[in-house]
Amino acid sequence: MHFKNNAIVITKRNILKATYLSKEGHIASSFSVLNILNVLVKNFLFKKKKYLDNFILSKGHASLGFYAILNQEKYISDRIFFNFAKFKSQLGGHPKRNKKIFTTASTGSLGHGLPIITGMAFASKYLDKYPKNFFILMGDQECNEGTLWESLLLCNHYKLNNITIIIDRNFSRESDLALGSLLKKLRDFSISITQVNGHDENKLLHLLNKKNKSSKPKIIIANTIKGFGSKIIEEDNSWHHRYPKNKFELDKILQTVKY
Amino acid sequence: MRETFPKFIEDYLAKDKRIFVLLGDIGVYSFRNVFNNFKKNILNIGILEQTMIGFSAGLAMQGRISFVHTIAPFIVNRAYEQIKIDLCYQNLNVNLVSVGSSLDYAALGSTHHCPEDVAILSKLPNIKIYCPGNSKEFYNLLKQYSLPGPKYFRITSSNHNLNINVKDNAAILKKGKKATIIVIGNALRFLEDYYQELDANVIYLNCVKPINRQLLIDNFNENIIIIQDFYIGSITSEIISIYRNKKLKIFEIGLPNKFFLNYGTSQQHYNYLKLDKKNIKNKILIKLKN
Repeated sequence: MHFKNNAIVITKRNILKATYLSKEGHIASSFSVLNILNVLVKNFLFKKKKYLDNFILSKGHASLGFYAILNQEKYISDRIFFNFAKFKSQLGGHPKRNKKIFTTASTGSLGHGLPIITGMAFASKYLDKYPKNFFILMGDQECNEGTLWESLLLCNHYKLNNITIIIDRNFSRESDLALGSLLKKLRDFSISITQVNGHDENKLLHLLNKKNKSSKPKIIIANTIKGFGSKIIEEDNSWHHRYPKNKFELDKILQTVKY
Repeated sequence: MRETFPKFIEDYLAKDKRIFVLLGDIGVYSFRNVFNNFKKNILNIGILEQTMIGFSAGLAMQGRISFVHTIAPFIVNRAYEQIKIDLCYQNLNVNLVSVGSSLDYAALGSTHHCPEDVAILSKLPNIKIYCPGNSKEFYNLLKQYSLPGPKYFRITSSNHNLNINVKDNAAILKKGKKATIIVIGNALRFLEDYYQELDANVIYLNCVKPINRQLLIDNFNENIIIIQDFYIGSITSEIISIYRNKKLKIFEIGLPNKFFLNYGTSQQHYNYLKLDKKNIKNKILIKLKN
């Protein structure tokens, strides 16, 4: 099932161009989370163009996807975006904490985002005057890391219902270490846990807008296709960390981006 | 030294509500007054050290200043990557306070020893490493808690008994000709009775990162003796970098790089390793003669 979205197609093509220029970037992972990031950036991370400092991209290797959406929404200029991962660039192959580019936390090593956002949400809920909602995007294989389970214990104990955890379920390494039903495994930590097609932006928006009436964090398992948008990248796992080697390959792969 | 920590927190929480204490299921009883009087500012977070460090980073991002407290290996070894990425890389103000340094928990075995903390933490950029020599120094060093960036405070169960006027985390205890002796934190207990008799510069440090370079440069001698109560070699490269281009003869006294497989008391270990006042004095005197 494909959802026609012209802006996203252009953004994906920009991602490809940026990887070609920098010889860096995780294209397939960025494509799999692009719809999620599109919904988050447009609706939850900014208020009157001001970043709310409430989001961590815990699967840091999808940084290019995040910066591409910020570029699409004109928070980041073309000059900054297409300088991605160059020597003096602010935008790296993994995000580095920097308010100027709307990056709350440095990530890259998996399993670091959730403990940090748990601390932020705790401080916001119990110590600050103006509590706010926090969002984190994790990879499914990132759930191998013990810190997910450690942090969820804390989120439950301290009733941190001001956190929304989105898990990019692209089954990238399911055959090597199966997570099985994340819905079943995580249900005890989140009453409001749901599964959704991670490329259906309307459904994502609806779930994200839904008030969390429980005392536990909201978890959204977003089923996605790694490399979504380009059949070649979807079907060939070698694109996990690979860039178009020459103009010919770039043009060829640009043509394959359809949705 | 251990009881100084909750005392400091009580004193400072009364005036600075940014302070937040995270206990890794250690010292809960000794913090009972803080739990009673400032319950919003303290958690016994449980046995999840990696998440505890990330959590403290999150608190720092929201403007809080945390003190994270548990046994040395469980912070330094277990959560080393969290210290590196969450605290040092992001340069956040979090204070790590460890207990059970080196062989303090002798009878509990090598899982609970941590003679490598100074060596491995000092390789991380941005962190400050404090080695207080007694309770009074510890209290004074803790006052640096609001300086930017991560900090590591090392609580030891042994201490020296001198009242030293420490300035910029260092002091020159005496001047002499034959060598420069650098003594760190609680290791001063080995020398406190006789250092005045030694014909050497005796420099005391209670912070090894950043190190007071000027004091060391001002009191140079090509014969260097480093005396420490952690692994030998922990700060050697830093000393060499201070005296670069100079010919040095370095002699170190401290714990050898091995697992300490016996149990008993830490004092028994130090006796067994010949790390006692008399043996150390003899070693120094032999070096000063040559």
